[in-house]
Amino acid sequence: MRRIESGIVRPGWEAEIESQGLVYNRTHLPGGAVRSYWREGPFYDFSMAEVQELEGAVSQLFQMCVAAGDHLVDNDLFDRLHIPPMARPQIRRTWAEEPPSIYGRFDLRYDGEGPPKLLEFNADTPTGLVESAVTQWNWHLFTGQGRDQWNALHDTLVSAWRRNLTRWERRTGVRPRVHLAWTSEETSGEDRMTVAYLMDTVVQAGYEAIELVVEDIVLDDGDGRFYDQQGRHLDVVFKLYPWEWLVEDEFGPAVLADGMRPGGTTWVEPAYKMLWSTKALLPVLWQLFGTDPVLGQYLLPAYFADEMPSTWRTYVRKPLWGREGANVAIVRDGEVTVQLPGRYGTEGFVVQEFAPLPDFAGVDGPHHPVLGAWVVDGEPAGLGIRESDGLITDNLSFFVPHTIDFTAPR
Amino acid sequence: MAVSNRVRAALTTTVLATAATGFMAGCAAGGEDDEEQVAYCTDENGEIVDEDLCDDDGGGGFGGGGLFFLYLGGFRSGLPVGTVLPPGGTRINPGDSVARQRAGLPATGKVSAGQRVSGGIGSGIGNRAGTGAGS
Repeated sequence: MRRIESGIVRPGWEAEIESQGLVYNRTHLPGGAVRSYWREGPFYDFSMAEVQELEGAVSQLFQMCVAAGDHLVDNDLFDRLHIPPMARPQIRRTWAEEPPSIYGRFDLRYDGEGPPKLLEFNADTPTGLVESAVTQWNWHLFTGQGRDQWNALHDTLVSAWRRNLTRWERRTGVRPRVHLAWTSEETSGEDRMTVAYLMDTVVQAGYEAIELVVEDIVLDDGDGRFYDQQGRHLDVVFKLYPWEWLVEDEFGPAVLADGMRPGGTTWVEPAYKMLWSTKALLPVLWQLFGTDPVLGQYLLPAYFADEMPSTWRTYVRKPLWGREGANVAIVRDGEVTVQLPGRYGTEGFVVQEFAPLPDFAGVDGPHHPVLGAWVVDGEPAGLGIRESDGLITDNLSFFVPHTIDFTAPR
Repeated sequence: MAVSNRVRAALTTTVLATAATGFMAGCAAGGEDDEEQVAYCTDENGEIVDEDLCDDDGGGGFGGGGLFFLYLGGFRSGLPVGTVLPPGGTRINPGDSVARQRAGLPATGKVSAGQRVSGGIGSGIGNRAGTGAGS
């Protein structure tokens, strides 16, 4: 793994990536400056052996998450995860029945030397999809840099919809239409473009796709079912809206009740993703697999904050339900040295061993990459890299494309 | 083992490209109306009346000797009978099941005063957490 600093810069790249869907490229910084989220020029390069190592790790991590889910459900550990009681029947049901689930993203620490280490699993509402699946693929094709790219996202997403929706159709006898919903509170365009791209993959799987904002979802208080504004029943809804918010919303109890009835709306991702999208997954994985000589190498030691070993003085503290780095703190020698603001944390924290991100420094300073390894329909499917100047990857990080087996032109 | 898309060609992303063009043109649709829609039974002057008068079983917009509507708009919920609602809402004939459904109301039956028909997702505590919905 290496960082190539001076790759090809495409003429007119900024307008090109925006027209391809990266409309949220212009990042407004505190203070008013605007900069590009996409890095044009620099990229990371991997050997095929490294990509295969990453793929293997992602497969193993996913299997570990499945085992952790069984452990949590079988032992009724919902209290420890701060999952509200009313959500538990739906989590149990979806865990047992395996309704449609499309994708997730593991965030990994990796430097090409040691094994990849899991930082967290964005299992419920992962973004960064458009830049991973579309923008960097087009960049790779256009610039001709690298022999390949770890990027089967498009093919696997289409296959995932086809497999899951065909199964749904066989089970119900109804050909589903798929509504894809984002929240209009998100104004950067990122969520809307993510949904638009996923609509393309639904359509290419052979199904009808309809865009929707979650605020327009209609509850019929007569039959307790969900409809769009045109009165069409919501058969299958992809929601780019986290379960932990949904269950707190006014319609939350109705969503959960409807899901337990025959013919109820199928929500994608399913409710069981709450077991994985909480940072509580990290200490559970460590407890189950930390001592395994093979599987343990992909994990960082992690504990619930109230079970932290008394000898720990340096660690990372993460709120159970935080997003985009909010409220994450780096503690060194018992003192908080870096902390991002936010409103999370009242639900509790986990602590994870501090494993500083590697620095692929360039002439413009430090670059700390986090590898976002995509899982589609339970299988490794591709890679998207975000890098930050600092050690916490937040919503001001950059997206950097990657290649496999790049050879510099003579 | 292949680690990339089968065909090394640009992806077909018609929906995404269209959405991007629309967004960049500043006409992002879908989120312009995030006001909560609330329905009341009113008379022709927009005054809230007893919801029984808008029960479609009572005969398609006519009940109790007057003309009544389901009146839908960005009103507060829980307003009492007698309140006069401002203009600008949508009038729906209580007997028109198609129009009722289009507005997100049950196709038939009584609509309770101030019934919330949408906006029940996305307006809650979670969505005010200060970060995006993605992760």
